[in-house]
Amino acid sequence: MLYVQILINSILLGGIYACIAVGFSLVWGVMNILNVLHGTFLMLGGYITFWLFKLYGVDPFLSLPISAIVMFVVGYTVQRGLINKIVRAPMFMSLILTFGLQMLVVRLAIYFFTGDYRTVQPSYASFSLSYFGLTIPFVRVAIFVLGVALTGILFWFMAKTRTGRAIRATRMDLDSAQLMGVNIGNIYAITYGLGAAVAATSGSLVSVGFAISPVSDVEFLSKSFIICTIGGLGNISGALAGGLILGLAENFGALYFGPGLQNAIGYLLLILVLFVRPSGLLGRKGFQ
Amino acid sequence: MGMGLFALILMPSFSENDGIRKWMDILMIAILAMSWNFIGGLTGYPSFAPAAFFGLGAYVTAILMNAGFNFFLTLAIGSAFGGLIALLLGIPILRLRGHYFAIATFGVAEFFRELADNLRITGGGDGINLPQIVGGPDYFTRFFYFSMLGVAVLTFLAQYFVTRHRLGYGLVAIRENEDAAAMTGIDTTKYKIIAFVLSSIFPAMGGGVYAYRAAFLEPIDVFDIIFSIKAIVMSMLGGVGTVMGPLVGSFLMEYLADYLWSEFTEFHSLMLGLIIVLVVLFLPRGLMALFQELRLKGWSSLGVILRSNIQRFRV
Repeated sequence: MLYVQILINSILLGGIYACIAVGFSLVWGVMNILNVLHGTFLMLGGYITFWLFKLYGVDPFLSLPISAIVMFVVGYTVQRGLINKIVRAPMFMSLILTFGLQMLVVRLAIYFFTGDYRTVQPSYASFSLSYFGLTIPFVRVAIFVLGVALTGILFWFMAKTRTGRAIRATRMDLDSAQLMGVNIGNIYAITYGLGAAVAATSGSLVSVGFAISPVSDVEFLSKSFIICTIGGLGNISGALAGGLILGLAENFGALYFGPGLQNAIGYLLLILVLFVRPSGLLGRKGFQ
Repeated sequence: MGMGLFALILMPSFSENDGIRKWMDILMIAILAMSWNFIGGLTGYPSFAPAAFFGLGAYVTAILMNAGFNFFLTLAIGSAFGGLIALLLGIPILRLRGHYFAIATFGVAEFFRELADNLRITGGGDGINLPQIVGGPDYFTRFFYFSMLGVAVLTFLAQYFVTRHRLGYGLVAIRENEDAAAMTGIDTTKYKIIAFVLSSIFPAMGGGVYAYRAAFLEPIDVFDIIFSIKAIVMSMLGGVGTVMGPLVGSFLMEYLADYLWSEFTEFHSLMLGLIIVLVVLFLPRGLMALFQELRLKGWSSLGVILRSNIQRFRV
């Protein structure tokens, strides 16, 4: 029974992990930017939900679209105003730029929000379903379902809409896309905005089930690193697979090696996958 | 150059202990920046490993000194151990390119921190104490300053000779085009591994000096990713891939940091973040390149140069 319980926990955790990583994978895949601000967007999304709940009593699940729209605008502006200026520079320039921005934002967040850990506690926070000795917390299930749904929406957007097709065309060949009339500056900004919006929404989800603080962003970021590398870049199913594998590895690793080594297992998995199969489990070869 | 070294050697005779400590910190960052230059600057592989090897060296010194080893011997063992680990890790990691390499080195640094947090030999999350140095503050401040200066001089010399040697040219060729470099007969794997090992032994040595001076280590302190970030940013500020760049960058930045906002510690990372953003946007090729251009075109063209810098890489 213990194993079944851990399996359920792993899958519930894996769903939210996938949702955390999918925006990061999008930005990396399309623009070859290792977006250090990704975790920060998650953290800000979480705080939007937290403050809306705390100050105005808005239900956390209702504030998801607000957090998405606000952070889309922020992401769009950051890419248009700053990152677009150095997109063609050697690739670690964008990494360092987003790192500088991350330091700025996190410092300001500590100043305004304080470093306290916060969590959103709606009245139904402690509901759970019990069957055959298994416990399934209601909030975790809701987060899982919404996280997977969000990933699905992004998948649909990329596959079916005109903008989604323009983004994929830009990823395949920047110059040809430009010749076909795609406004690269705008498409890049939209992509980055989408990444930020998905990140913020998953941050909002995380703030319900887990505690967040201004410095949680590093944890989200390193999880995204690991998940994207395990799953592979270039497709959304990679993020789903990576998220589930990390969820399983962490939970079963904690069972066998003790909870202290839970994070170390993630990094070990990251390094192992890079050694054995650098393009990730579901990634396409030569896709950087 | 000789003049600068001379000034650094004489400085403690004219300075208060506080001032000496400040320069010790500057030298420590300079060591990290100069060593990063081997792999990141010359070879073009964006490594986040400096923090990993800095922490490794710090822990080797801590553990061995507690076992009764001589301090300088622990520095030698620490850097040799760092080099060995870099060799073993470099073989698989250096096959990766671009962001994958960056993430792998980041993963290594974080993995080491998690290990130090959980192993018994490192004292786990509680940290580890080192033997206290015997002597008054005047003595030990100078002792650590000159130890750090020694490591910095070694790092600088290594950098100086590599850039003038076949190896340095080979590394630059790899940075510019790895496949073409391999075509001209450069053993790219061997060259990259040598660069990675070189970029690891000096941070390990500097970490050892840091450990003895701090007298207490915690995983979160010495495996802090900020050491890697500072190494990269200082190199960029000065000029990536140049001999003087990392040195100029770290001296200027740490000195400025100290005089401009040492009073406001809570704004330290705010200012560092702001400077990173400005450097990337306006000085992508660093101060050394800017000085060169200014010498050619005159100071009046500063605005034009900065404006063309920000236009260069846009879409």
